[in-house]
Amino acid sequence: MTKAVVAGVAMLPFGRHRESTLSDLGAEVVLGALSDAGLGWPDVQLMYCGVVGVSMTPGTGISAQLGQTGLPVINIDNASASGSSAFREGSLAVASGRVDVAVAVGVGKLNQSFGGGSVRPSSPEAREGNIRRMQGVMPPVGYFAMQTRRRMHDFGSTIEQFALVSVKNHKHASHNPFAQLQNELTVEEVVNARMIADPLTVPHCCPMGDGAAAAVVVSDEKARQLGAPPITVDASAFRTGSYENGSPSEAKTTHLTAQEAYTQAGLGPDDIDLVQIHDAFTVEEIEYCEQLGFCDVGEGERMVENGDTSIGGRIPFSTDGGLLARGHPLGPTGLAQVWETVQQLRGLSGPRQVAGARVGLVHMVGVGGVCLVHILKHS
Amino acid sequence: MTPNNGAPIPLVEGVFRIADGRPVLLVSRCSFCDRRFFPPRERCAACSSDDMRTEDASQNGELYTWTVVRELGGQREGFVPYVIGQIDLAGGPRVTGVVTCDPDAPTIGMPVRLCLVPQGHDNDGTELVGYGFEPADGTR
Ligand SMILES: [Zn+2]
Repeated sequence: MTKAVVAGVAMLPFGRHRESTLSDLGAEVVLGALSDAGLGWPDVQLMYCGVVGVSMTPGTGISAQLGQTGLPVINIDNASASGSSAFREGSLAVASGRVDVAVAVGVGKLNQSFGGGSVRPSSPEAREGNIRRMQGVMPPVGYFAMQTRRRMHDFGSTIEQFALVSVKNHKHASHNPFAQLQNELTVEEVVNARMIADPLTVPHCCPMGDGAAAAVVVSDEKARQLGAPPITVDASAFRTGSYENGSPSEAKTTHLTAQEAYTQAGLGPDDIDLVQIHDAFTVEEIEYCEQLGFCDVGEGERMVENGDTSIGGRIPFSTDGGLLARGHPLGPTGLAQVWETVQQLRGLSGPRQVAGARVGLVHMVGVGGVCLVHILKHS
Repeated sequence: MTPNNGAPIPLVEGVFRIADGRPVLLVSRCSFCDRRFFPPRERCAACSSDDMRTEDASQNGELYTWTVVRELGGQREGFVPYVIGQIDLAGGPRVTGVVTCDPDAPTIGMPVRLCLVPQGHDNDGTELVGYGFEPADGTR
């Protein structure tokens, strides 16, 4: 079996791209990633497109724009993990020997709404909507606010400690021209910002936006022909939730998925040089830091406080600003993480470069308990 | 004259019943692994067994965690703020619901009990109710 090599990456700055369709955005980054790899669209044998909640199939639209070569195109909707799922499937297709050149692309535009149902159920969907309505309309921020509150109770953590995650991510993003929010923030500014769901203010939550990102994955033989830097996909682990205390828990799923990834790569937490995670809310970095094995449960706050997860620290997290500052347009987010990791492993990250970075871990979760962990290595 | 003699009816059937003016949540218990689930389900989330029995949950519990939702992304401004929490019912399981108390009032561990929450009217005028939680010690 061949190894999958990430030969090219590209992304658009996250933020506003109102003038373009999803397929326009996708076509631009696909061409960018191919050019980065030294390839052209006719070389692509298979494409996966990560996208959330749109009725049309933008991946197919990308191929219609770039040239109808007849290649298979598969659109994947897996919530926040759509782009990561596209990356996994592209990598596995190459590793299996089925194709030499696969593209994973992710696209997203802001069209989010949260709301309750209508009156009495006339369909199973309406019935489920009404159950959710009785449970209380629960935007994602509400769920993570409750998790933050409980953690403060269990470990005596303070809201300032959680705010430090946002401060750190904004600082990282201030060196990333592709980030949606490039302004620096202080702890006081985070804590005193507008309250969304107690105790979480606006900067504890990721912004929504538009964006696109893509990666070209090739066989190791193809990579040698292209002279691509040997950045290999050494692990691709994917789990859905396991039942725990009333619901699947992201923390437990992250733990199990990471264990699987470490086993695949023959590596452990000590071998990882940098990490990109699903940090849509500040509490997530602290919990995943523990679940990925970088510290014990209850010590995540101290990791952030010590600067361990900052660039220059023991294990930098979200070197591009993470979901909190780089942004989270859903479909492309996982591929933006791959973009950042590849740039870091190539040593091209300028002022936010992690010195000597050779192994990067990429983590993503999605609504419903989906979790992916990839490990990329500069071999 | 509305159906059901004017008495309110649950917004969704098969999720809770009304006893003495308060909701009783219906819980599925797995005959195989003994875990309990709310809302009721036909197959166990832990072991996939389809041998599930429906039983009543306790009407009392304590607040495991909570938040006050103050914004809902544009629409439904009249709806916020509201308190929402996870409640450990006595004997389990842990459930999610609105807590009908002042946003300054909730604390972790606070005793709460089930209460009916208005959910509008059916097309024929029947009053619809859901379930929620209120502080059990009478404070609001
Ligand atoms: Zn069971």
